Amino acid sequence: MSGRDYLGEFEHIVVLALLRLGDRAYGVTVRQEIELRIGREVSIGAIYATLGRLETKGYVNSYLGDPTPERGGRSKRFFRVTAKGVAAVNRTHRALRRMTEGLRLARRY
Amino acid sequence: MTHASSVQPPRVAVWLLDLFTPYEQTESIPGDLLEEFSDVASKSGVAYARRWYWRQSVRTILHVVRSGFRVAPWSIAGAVVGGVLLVQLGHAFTEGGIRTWNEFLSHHDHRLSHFDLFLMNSGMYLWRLTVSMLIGCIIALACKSREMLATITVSLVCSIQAVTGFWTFLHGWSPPLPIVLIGALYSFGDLFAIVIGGGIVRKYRFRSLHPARS
Repeated sequence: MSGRDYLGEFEHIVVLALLRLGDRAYGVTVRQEIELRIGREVSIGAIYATLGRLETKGYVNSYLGDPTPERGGRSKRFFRVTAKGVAAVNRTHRALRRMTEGLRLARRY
Repeated sequence: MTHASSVQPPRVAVWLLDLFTPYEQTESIPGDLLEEFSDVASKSGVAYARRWYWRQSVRTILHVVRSGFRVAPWSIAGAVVGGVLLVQLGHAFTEGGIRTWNEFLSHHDHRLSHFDLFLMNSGMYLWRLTVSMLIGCIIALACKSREMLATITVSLVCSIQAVTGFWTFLHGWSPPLPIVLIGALYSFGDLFAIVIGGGIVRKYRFRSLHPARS
């Protein structure tokens, strides 16, 4: 993987959600955090498809928790951002800052 | 007050999700949706929660399908090409059998009643469906965790031929509805049998991976 990889739009959102959630980050909390902050319903399939890609790239890693009865005896899969993932976020932010420097973007509420 | 813990999500949506979810995600995706379903039901009511679950399931299945093509395109393509060739071979085999059977009947039908002929032709059709289902099982066995994706794709590719055959059957005359239905069953029944074969392999694999939840 080259050092020039930037995060895609939704990958960026998911990684930021993981950073906000810390140790509490699994499918449900990530989905709810994104939905709360961007105001749009997101499917759990989209979250896991993105997390799968991020894990393949080495930007996140995951581990299984204990099974719980409210999940029908299934375990939670927790995610955390790796150092490589943090570097990718920083790289993407720097690129976005450089691209938006000097632009006068209209505010919409 | 809704007792959310005792309310279950729509069974058909759960079943569809179980069919399509990759094995490595059978703990996380259904578990997450079940957990959140209970939460949504207690806050917004059961009817809303069921609609929410359906939306999530359908969108998740679409993502899983897209992801399957992206992650393993050559594996799926190979299974589809192999599956279509197997289907053609299977149909040639069963059509040959049906022709031989009809030749036999044309020499002996003065001794057979209409009901006997109906039973025999139905038996040949069931044999054709069984061969299609076995082909579905073979495709699914070759595909490891993307059984439904592969068998449904093979069925969609073969449906082009099925639609052409059905159109040829209907073209130029106006058959009564029972004949149309029989024609449709003959043209498209194989496609469902292929998918059912994939589903059988999927269920068997799921049971062997998760015996506690079988």
